[in-house]
Amino acid sequence: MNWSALLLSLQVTMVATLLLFVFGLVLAVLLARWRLPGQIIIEIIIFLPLVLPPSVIGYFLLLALGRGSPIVEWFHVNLLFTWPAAAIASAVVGLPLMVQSARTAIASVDQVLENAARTLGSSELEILWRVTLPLARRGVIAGLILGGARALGEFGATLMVAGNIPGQTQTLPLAIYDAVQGRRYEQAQMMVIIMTAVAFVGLWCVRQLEQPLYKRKTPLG
Amino acid sequence: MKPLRLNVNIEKRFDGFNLSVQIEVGAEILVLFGPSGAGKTQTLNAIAGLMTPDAGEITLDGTVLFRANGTPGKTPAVNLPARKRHVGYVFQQYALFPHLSALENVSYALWRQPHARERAEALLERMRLAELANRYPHELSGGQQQRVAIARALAMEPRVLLLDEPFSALDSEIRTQLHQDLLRLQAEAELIVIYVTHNLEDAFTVGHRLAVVRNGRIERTGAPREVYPPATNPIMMDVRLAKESSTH
Repeated sequence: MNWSALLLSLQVTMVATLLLFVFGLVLAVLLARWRLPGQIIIEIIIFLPLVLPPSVIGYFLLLALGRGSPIVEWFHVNLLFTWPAAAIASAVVGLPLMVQSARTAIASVDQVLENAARTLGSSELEILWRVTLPLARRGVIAGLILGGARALGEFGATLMVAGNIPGQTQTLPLAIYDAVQGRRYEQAQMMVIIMTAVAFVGLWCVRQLEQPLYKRKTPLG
Repeated sequence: MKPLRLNVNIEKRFDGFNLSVQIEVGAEILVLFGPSGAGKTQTLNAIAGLMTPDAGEITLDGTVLFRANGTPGKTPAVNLPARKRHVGYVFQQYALFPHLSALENVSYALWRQPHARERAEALLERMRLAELANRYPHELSGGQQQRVAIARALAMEPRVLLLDEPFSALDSEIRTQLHQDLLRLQAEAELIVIYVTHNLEDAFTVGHRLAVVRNGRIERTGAPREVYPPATNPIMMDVRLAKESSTH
């Protein structure tokens, strides 16, 4: 069992999930409740990682994080071939799943409830925090689980921007690939079982979250 | 407490429909009565700050809640957001927050204020709901939900209370009880109440004054018996209104 790859995968997935929570939630709210100029273009860009080959996403990330990019020029931070680059790549591929699930949940919150909150003295941020997000929480959590699971399984783009350096940037999917290449099938099998189990539990949780939130318990007149 | 006056003089152009309403309301229950689609709810929305008229003015005892500038469709000169108008609004389908208990719904507007819980409990007590404080909306009957909605709207001590077809989904016995509650609350707090309905019986029971709304305009205003003299059969009026609704 490659413990360093497992630990690194957990670290990368946690950071990616945090990025998904912040950026995914902001994008989901904006897309669900605002009519943005060029909204269709923004949506297509967010959803591109669902259909593009990982190598293309990796190439774009190389441009975004490599020499000459604004991140390097302005902040003097070179993330290429470090684990944070793997976290960013994982977050990018998980973003469409998070945004889609959270946006649908937010859009389905009855706007009359938000209007009621307005008449009760709430600001827009307060409404988001006290009404919209609590009512959309299942979709947001489901999006985080799906996005996080996708981030955990990220392979191609991670390989391009973070490399495959054992102990430094080698995550579980990369370690499985390495183990199979080196014919260490037992080691690969263990890691495959772990990843499958995590994905299974994640999807089981998502299914549970699809149950209706508020069921009437007793027939009332 | 000084009696207030609410003056509404607004115009709004919708797709194929023009709303043009002029009303003046004091500490009384004014019933906006008319068929569906006549513009009653949009009038309430404009007063609450949930809809922006194209032209006109809304003032509450001299304080301007809304004032359009000269050019329709441009940014209004004054447009207080709904949260700053302190206008209580009871929506047709209750609009209680399903993730909050009855007590939490009522204390929603009070969360930054001292003694929020005690004040919310007192309001629930006033609406005979003290024992149901910890129930969630889906565990309450329609009449109980509507009483929670009224208590919630009253929590921030508004001077204006708007009710949009508040009891239309309830049976007549519960409606009678709620009408009595409403008359009592209005008298106690000297509230300006605007009550929207398409049911003439409701209008006669709670209305101090009646304004008949048709095709986006106030057609007649006056005491219910002046607007519809005793010879007018309320049941026939309902039938007539239902027919008119179906043609709109």
